[in-house]
Amino acid sequence: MGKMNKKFSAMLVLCLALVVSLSACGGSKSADNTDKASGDKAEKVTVNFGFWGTAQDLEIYQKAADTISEQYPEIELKIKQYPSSEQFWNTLPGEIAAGVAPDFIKMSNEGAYEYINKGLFSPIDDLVQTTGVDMNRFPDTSKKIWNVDGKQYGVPNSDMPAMFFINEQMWKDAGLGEYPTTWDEVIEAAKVLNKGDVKGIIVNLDAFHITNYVKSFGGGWGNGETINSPENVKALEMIIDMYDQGLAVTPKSLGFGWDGEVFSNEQGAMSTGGYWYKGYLKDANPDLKMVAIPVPKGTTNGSTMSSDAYMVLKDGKNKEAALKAAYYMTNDDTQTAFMELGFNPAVSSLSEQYFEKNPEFKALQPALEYSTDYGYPTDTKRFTDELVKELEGLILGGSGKTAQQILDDIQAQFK
Amino acid sequence: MLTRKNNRRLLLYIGTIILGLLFALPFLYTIYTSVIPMRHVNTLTSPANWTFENFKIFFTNDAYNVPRWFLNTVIMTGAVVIGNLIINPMAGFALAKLNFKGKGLIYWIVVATMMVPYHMILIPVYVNVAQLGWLNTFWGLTVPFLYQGLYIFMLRQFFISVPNEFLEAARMDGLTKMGAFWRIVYPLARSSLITMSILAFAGTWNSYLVPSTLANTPEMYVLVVGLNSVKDMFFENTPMIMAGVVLSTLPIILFFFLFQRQYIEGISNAGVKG
Amino acid sequence: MSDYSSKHADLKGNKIRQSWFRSLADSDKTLGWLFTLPFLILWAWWFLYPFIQSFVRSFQDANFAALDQAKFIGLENYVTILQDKEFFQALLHSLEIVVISIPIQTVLGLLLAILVNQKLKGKGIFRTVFFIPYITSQIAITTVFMMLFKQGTFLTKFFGALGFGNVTWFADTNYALLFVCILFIFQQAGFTMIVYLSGLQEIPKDLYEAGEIDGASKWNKFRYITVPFLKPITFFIVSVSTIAGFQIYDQIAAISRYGALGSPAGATSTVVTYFYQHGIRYMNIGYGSAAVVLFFIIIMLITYLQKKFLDEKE
Repeated sequence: MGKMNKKFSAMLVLCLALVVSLSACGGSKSADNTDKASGDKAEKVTVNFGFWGTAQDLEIYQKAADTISEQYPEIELKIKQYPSSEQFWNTLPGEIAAGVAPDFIKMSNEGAYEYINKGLFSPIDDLVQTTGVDMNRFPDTSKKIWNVDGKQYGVPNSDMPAMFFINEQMWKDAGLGEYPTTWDEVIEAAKVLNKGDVKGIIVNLDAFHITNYVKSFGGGWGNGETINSPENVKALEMIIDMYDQGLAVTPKSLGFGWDGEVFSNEQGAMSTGGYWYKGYLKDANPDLKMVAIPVPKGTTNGSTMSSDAYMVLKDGKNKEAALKAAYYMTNDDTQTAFMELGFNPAVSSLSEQYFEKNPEFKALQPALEYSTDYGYPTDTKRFTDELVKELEGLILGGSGKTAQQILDDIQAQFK
Repeated sequence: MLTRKNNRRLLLYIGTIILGLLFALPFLYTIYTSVIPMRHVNTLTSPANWTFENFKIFFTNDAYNVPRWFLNTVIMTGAVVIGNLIINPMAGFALAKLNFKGKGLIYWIVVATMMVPYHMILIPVYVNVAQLGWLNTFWGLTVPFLYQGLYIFMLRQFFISVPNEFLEAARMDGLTKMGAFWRIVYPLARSSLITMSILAFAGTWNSYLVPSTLANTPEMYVLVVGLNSVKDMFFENTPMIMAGVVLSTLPIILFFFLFQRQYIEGISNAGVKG
Repeated sequence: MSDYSSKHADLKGNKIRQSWFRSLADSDKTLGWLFTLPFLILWAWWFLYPFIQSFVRSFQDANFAALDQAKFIGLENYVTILQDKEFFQALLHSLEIVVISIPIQTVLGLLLAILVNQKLKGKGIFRTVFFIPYITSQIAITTVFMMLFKQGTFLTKFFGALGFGNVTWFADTNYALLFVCILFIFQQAGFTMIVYLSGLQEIPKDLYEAGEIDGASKWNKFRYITVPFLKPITFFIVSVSTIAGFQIYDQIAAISRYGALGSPAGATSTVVTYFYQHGIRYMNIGYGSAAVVLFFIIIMLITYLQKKFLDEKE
């Protein structure tokens, strides 16, 4: 046995020796993947665009890549589709280290703040000056979402406020009249709608949904500054109360992944959600009629804005060309094509058409004015994980904490 | 006496069938989910509603090049299995039957290699592959995986049970130890090599993390990655995903079904007449 | 070697080469290294070198978006992890998965292997069926199990009758980890089965024949011939399953889809999800690497103990 011990420790020693020697001599071998651009053809600059999404998205982007030379003859645009967002984030660190990362990507504001603050993206203000890209094309509300510490990071592509959905049939069958505008009215309605297998309201214990509740009470996370503000506590108390009364359900307890599945299976009458409900319900339950209204008021009008934008990576080789290409992606043709797929363009002149094409969202148009960014802390994913964990601990695990305790505990971790 | 035996067999069959159904159930349900429209997910619906639309999309949409992905997978899996069939048994044999300095060290290297989640070394491996210019090539997909610590370890455990008389008999016949390995042990270890091939085949065929990282252009997708890139608008279209799972799993099932027949007694048939 | 070859050196080059080759191919010392060399070369380049890079990272404060700004911080990552009660909770969960699942799946796998090693009509189909869960995408299997273990299905009602709660298992902090164990046993049983199956093929028949002459009962033959012969393989299965149990990820990711990894409320967090969350999701690759190094040391110790108690003495 002693022999084995010796072998075992010999290996550890060997490993350590190798570690020391190798870490001394290298490790910072910067991987310059010698330029594959092979720019023989008249100084064309190759710009790589990375995205994850659907086959329809790819088609739109491919078309943009084919026509970009009309506006920017010096740019060759290459589209790289990643199988999924998870895959993108798995691959990106290696790509950056190896110098083969895309020059710009499209990203949603739900996670962007973290990456901006951690130094993944380049501010574009200077590039806007030198390239002459017209940022006035986009409304201030959109630009503001992509502005961090006074610096602009994204070229906005689309904006859409969060919404509140009601199952029209259930609402009518219950003999309820006007659609609600406040949470109090929602709770009253939920009491009527709550029967049998159907729950009055779906409150997905997920950061997106919780954030909408706190915003409607005039609260918000304040990028980590105001996690346990009185407004947030009040919103959370209301949610907990709805659970205590048996009016609310989280998709997980019913065995579903997200709120839309519960809604489409008609096991919940109302839910917070977003524009993606439309496309999803079309496949999942084409017979269901939904009503979309702005997120009800707690004490004020407030909801989140889902926005996405093109962002230039910090390590890109040719940032100017990348910004030009990103800007080109927001041209009318591309935006119109995306509008067909259900995205509201972040271009004021086109947005009007959007509500004509998607009349079911007409009620949301005013919410465009007051909806704002999520306001997550820099460690966004850690924060949302922690929030979900605490809420699941209470609702699914019976931790017995109060709203105040939960938010205090989280705040303590994000000083 | 006879009836008692018959009863026992009947019981054996019934028991096996029940167990079999239990094990088959999830896959059968996967198949079921793959042939229903999305609105019927989570419910049982009559065959009248069944449809092959979920499969058809893979073969009609231009964005999905399933035959190409299939070919990529076959090439990748084939190369990896062949590499594993050469490199692992040699190392396993050395660790089981040869006495040399450093053997204990190599043994622990093999064991330690299995313990690190691949995710941890993925970034440096990626850089390694990129530096060699092997991104989106079969080199990158196969060369790093031509050996597997797991299978070396497994074969070592199998080879330990090979009676030493075999090797001695082989040397009497004038074979070197190397010759004894290739000519005697290798063919005799058939059933363990088949097991290894099946496991390596399944593992490589099903792998997602590595191929999706090292080869992420649509022409170089392998089947599992390609079928997973099929996403509906915003959320997963469960039937379509399940159709993808069925498509990518069937070849392994077929492979296994064909190869499990090879489990005929190896060493015991040859006998130790020496 | 020297004697023979030097004598005949001038006479026949061919012979010399042969004898040189012969001694190379026949000496344990050279052949041992020769046979392990292909493995070692690939290993050094594709495992050791990347591993060392990650190992170095574990002493750094590094976020992957800005690796060039990584700072050396000594043992700080390790100290922080060892003060994090979530890490120990994750470790405890990993140990629970291993302790609950491994005995069950090892015995189950052996039983299945014996079953399909009998003269049975259609045994090829049975072998295939038992193996299917191992080769099907674990995400798909988990998705299906999630449909089966929902509140109100026949399965949860059945378990409800046995004293479990009629709840959605993976949404209940009391049952979620057990649910993961069930998934893991179900997956790994097929693997155990085919490894044992090939082990069974290699038991020399004469051993059983000898047993029959002695009038041993079936049980005694199993107890005194089959089990001891399979011991090295059992050791292999137990240690590999332990490692697999520690590395279980896909199932948990599927349960936590759309939510926080380790959902509900961290009830299914494991050492690997801990690494994944901190190293990849939160981009703190240095911290994540440190977690894996600790993880590595822990399983190494466990495997070492298993070897001590389960493997053949050399």
